[in-house]
Amino acid sequence: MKVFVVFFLPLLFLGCASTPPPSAELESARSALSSAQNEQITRHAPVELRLARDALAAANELANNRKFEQAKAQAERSQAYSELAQVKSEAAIARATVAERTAEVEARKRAIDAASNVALPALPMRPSEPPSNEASEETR
Amino acid sequence: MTFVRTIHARPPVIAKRLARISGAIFTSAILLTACATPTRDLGLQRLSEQWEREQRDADRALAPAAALQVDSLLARWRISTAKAERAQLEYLVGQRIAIFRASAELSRQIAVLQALDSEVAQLKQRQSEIALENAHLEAEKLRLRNLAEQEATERAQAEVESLLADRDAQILARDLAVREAELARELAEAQTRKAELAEREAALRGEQVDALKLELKGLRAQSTPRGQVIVLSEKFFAPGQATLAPSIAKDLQPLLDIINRSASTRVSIEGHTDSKGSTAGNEKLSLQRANSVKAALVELGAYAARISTSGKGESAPIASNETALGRAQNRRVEVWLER
Repeated sequence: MKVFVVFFLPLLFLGCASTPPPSAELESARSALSSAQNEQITRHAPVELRLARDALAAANELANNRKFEQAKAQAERSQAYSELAQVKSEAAIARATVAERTAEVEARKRAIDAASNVALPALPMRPSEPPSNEASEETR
Repeated sequence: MTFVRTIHARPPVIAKRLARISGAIFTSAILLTACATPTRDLGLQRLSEQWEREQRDADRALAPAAALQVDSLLARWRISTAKAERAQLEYLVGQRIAIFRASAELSRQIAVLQALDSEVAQLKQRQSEIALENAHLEAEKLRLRNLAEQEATERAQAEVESLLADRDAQILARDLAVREAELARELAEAQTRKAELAEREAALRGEQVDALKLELKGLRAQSTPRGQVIVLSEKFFAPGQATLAPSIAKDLQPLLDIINRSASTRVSIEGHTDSKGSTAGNEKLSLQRANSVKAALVELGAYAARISTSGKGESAPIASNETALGRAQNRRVEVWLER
């Protein structure tokens, strides 16, 4: 009982009575979005990027209207969307690179096959077996 | 898009609710805290199950940080009682599960990429090995070709040399044989010449003596391409006569000496007449004259088989038949010592 009181009372006071402006969350969401705003991410995760932007805009507006609790929630969502956009873009790039590398592997395998096939007919011409010499010796 | 719509749709609702709750919370805080069992929530149920499935599909180890975030959000949600907070946590859990999914995918792709990179490295290695091998083979082929060419050249050279040597030997042998034959011939010729010279010397010596003797008896010897000829004319035969006087017959001894010394084996005696008389009679007469000389020579000891006779008649005069002297010269017998 004592534990509950000690643990939850501050929480309740914080959450309900006077929520401070979520400046940390807003700042964090802003920086996450700005680092997610590049060409690659715009290409690979446009929806997530837009959601992040919209959520941050909503958070700023709510903060301006002193609705700090809701502003914080929107900031958190924006932050998560920015992260999601970032990771999705990275995964897409990795997928493209994998495809590219797979093609390279195939090309190299083909090249090796071709080179090996070229090399094969030359093998009978080993110096250890000179039948032409013997023949010419006999005919002489 | 659904998220966007809810974001725009919710704020007024949430605001109203929050305002109501914040008022109510003060009064019911202690009570709520006392019975802090979180309400059964379908959203929480659903997302928890989704999270379970997600972790079955992708190993937590692929994205541990994202997984921890989902876990901590779910833990907060389970004990959370504030409705707004629960709604926010539900939203965030959905987002974090998506992040976990994308992170796991990223990790998998990176792992694949690493495998591919090492495969590419191996293939590159293999390619350079093959290139090296092929270069070696090329070099070896080239070396063998050069060797074969060199061998062929040497063989051809040796063949030519041996042919040349053979030919030289043949030429030498032939030259030697030719030279030997030449020398033998030269030697034989020299010997022949020497013998001939000796013979000729002897003959000349004999001839000179004979010529002298012949001159004394009124006989003349002449050398012609056909051979040596002694002409018996003028005083030997009277016109129309074929017989030799016995005294004259004895004078033929020097002629016999010449015949016996001569190298010639065949002696032919030709009788001739002047143009007086018939041709047929002259031919007969000329033969009789030749026979008379042969008979006289045989009488003196000549070998009859060596001597042949013939009558030429008046066909081969040696002087004009118009004068008595010419006719006397034409009545003659020629003794040919043929070569």
